Amino acid sequence: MKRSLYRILIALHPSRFRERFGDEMMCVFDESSANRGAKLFADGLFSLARQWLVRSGLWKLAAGAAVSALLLCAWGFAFTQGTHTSLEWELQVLAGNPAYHRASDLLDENEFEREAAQAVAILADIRKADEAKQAGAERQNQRREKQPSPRSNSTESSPNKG
Amino acid sequence: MRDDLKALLPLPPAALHILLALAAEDRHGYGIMQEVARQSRGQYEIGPGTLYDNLEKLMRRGLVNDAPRRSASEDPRRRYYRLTSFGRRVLSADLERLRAVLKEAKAALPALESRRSS
Repeated sequence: MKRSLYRILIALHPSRFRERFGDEMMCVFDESSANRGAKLFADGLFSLARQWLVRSGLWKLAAGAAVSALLLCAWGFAFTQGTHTSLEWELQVLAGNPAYHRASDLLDENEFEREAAQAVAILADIRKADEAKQAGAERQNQRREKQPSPRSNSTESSPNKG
Repeated sequence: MRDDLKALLPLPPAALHILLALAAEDRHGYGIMQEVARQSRGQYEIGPGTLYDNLEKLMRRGLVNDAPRRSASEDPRRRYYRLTSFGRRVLSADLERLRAVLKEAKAALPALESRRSS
């Protein structure tokens, strides 16, 4: 019975290992099974796992499948999350920003309107002052153009005198 | 070749014991298992799965190869294994490394004991 089980255990090994060492493992079992039956079975099971998972390169396949599954899950999660509008996301980001909370705490609507009206009035005053200054300068220029300069008259008369 | 040798060091415990078991003479699988148990005074035992997995690796790396059967009357399933000259050099290098470790340990041990007692 034990022998048959051990034979099955060997038969489950990858063919490369089984063909090379299967008979020898069976031979060792026959020679030593009397005093170490349980240990031999445990060793056989470890060997089976090692040969399939480590030596046969199956772990590479398993690791590749696991990474692919993880990537697929991540992509699926990102896709379902991406259906929300970007505006919603931006609002969430804004809501999470402490500067946004500070600004909204400091300014209420009425206060903001009053401040804005004052700013507009100041801008209008500045514009008016600018326009008045420009108009004054233009008037001065026009006046200068209308009055003939005394120096130009003297220069014109001097050659006649000579 | 020296680089190949360095790449194999330090040897894993099972490989070291198998090479040690084959150092004196050619042995078959069960003989190696018995010799490993004897060398370690029963403290380290390897099963056939571990033995043949390690033997396969050692053969692939050229440290061990097949040896002719001793007599025709033996079980035909039995195969003998032999340490190659490269395997012997690797074993010597690993034993040298272990000797240096042991020397360091012996030097460090009195200092450790005096620290413990103080």
